Amino acid sequence: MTTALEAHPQAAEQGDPVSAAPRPKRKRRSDKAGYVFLLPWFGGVLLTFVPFFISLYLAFTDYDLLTAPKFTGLDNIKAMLADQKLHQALGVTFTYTFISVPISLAAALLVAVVLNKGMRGLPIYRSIYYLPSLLGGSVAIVMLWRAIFGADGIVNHVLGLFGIEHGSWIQNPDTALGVLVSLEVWSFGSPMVIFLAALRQVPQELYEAAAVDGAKRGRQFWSITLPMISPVIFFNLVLALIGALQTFTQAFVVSGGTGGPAGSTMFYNLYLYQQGFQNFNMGYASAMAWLLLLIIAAFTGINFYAQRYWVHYEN
Amino acid sequence: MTFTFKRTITSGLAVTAGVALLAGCGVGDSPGDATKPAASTGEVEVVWKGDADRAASIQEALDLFNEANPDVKITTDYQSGGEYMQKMTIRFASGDAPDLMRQERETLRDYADRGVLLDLSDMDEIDTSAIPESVLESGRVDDKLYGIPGGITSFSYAIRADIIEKYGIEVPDMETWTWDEMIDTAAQVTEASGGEVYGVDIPMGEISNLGIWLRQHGEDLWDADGKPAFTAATVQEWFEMYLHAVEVGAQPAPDALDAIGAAADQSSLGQGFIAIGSIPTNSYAVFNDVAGGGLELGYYPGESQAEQRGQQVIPALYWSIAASSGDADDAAKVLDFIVNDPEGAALLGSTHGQPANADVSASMADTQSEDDKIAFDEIIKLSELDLTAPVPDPAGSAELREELSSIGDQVKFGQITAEEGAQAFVDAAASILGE
Repeated sequence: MTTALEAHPQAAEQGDPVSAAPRPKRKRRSDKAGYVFLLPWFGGVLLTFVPFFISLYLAFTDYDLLTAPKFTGLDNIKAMLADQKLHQALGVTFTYTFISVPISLAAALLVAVVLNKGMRGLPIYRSIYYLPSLLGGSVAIVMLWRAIFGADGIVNHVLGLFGIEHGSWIQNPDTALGVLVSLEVWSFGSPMVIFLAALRQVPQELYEAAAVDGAKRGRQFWSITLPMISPVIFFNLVLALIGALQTFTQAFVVSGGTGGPAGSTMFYNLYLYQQGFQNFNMGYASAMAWLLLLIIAAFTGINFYAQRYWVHYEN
Repeated sequence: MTFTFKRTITSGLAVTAGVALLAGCGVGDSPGDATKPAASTGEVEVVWKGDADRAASIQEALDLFNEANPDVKITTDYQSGGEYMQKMTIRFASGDAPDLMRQERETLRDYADRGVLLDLSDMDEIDTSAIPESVLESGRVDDKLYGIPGGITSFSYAIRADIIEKYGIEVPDMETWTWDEMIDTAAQVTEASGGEVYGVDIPMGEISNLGIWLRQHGEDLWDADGKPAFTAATVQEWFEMYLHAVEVGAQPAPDALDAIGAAADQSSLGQGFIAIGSIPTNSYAVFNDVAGGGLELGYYPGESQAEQRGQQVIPALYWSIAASSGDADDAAKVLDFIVNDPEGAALLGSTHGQPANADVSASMADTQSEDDKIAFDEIIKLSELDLTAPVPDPAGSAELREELSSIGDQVKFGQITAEEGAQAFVDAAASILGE
């Protein structure tokens, strides 16, 4: 009984009537409290899953937002197969993802390695490098980026010092996507902080042992650091891929919602948004959302499958 | 490694990935049917597009209405920019349609064709007798009136005479100028200023401007049935005219200017980066204000030589009532007040274009500013010419607008030729509007 009292101090305070009650009843009571605490979660499930399954239904309908959806079977899927603009949007999104994710992860790791030297004022540097990732997706920063890469922006002023003439980087279909990649790379702070935490977990004695064996810095990095933090690289890679495939805000703000110039920043999500909210094709947009879900699931699945070949788990 | 990385990371990823996926897919709204009438509310909600300044003047007009009709409870909402119509779409979709709303030229039929707007032709509360028939007609779809023009306007060319004169170049006569003359003057400006000011920015990828060019060539964007009414050859000439202007230095390279927004103070013309451009006629006062008073307003180039004038007098906006409105009669009263009442319509002012009601328009002449008067006179001058009467933009025209913008970019940057671009636009129009 003493252990029971310790485990349920409330029961002790409330005295005999409760503690004398049959055990099963008291157990049910504490179950109830648990469910009460879970209520917000159930609310969240409803908020998430109701629209989730409605959008699954809408994916098989012709829904113009103004009149009731009409079930059309696989029409949306057939239309998606034939939709050139959708294919182009996928191309833009994949190009962006495959360029920006490796570069931003490499940049994050590089800065993390440099910061891991245990220099003075590390927290300050860490904060400074982390700051952009808090701002990267924000509208204000994208507007700033527009100004930096505009026809009369800082970039062109600097280039002008070297006698290089260049127009707006944002209005040119060959460079507009590059501007967005640079914005993504610039906001590498979040994976950087995670890398930094992982670097500090690598046991120092491994390096000491390697040094005794005569391994140089580079060799230590390839043979100790990278394998030891590979689970974190994996983690950052999966998150960055998902994030990049869902890019919307930057493209919307930079192109003013048009995906221009010449469709060069027409990201998948931006095209989805145009279809749903500008062209009154919400059924089609829902089908597009589900295709994106499948694409992201496929990428994530491949990642999880491939990790067995390169991710090293210590235990 | 001191903790179990694999489990932590795998479970952490599963949760995060799941949440991220769901967030990406959460676009599906609860499907609503906006055609069903709502229960009577006894209230009228008025919504419009615009900024806080416009809101203040509309609120003043609504207060005036309330003085005479104290039993009507009016609520309001407004939103500026392109987000306005998206907000409206969501409100209609979620069964929360406003009673009286501003409707745009591009979207009137998107709404009307789907039966969510009220036919206003039989409403006794609304008097349309003082609105010119040609303008009123643009609010009709299949003999049903879905939008009352809340003001009339047009597109005009505007010249920064101050800049052109500064370089000792003769300001062309906009009554009679041709496209060649315009491009020639523009090229001179670019050259004389040493590239500091460009001559002209031709809105090549903007559909209303293409429409003017098409009408000048005896064609149009679409006919009364909303089907395409143009040939690839004329669109090709439009693209080629633009490319020619770039070639001779009249028009800057496509990446030389950043259009931050359409507002006057963000425009290249207002800021003096270019000397010639196109503006909505009723915005003349704000543009001239930003330009420091040197702006001259006139016809599009080529108007006086063309077989048919390309410019049109068009509604700046429509006022529509939702079919689901619980208080359509009172909404109609408010609509009539802001369109026809001399004081009410005057309060809405020139930002909505010249009042559609001719009597109101005439009565405002004494009190308006010099610049507004110039703009109004220009619209009146246009309306007295033999112009093509506007028809409502067909459903899907907003999508076609985006297509032209994208195709125009590809032509500008030489990704495709003018001929290929013209064919692409013909194909896009056929697939969006039908043939």
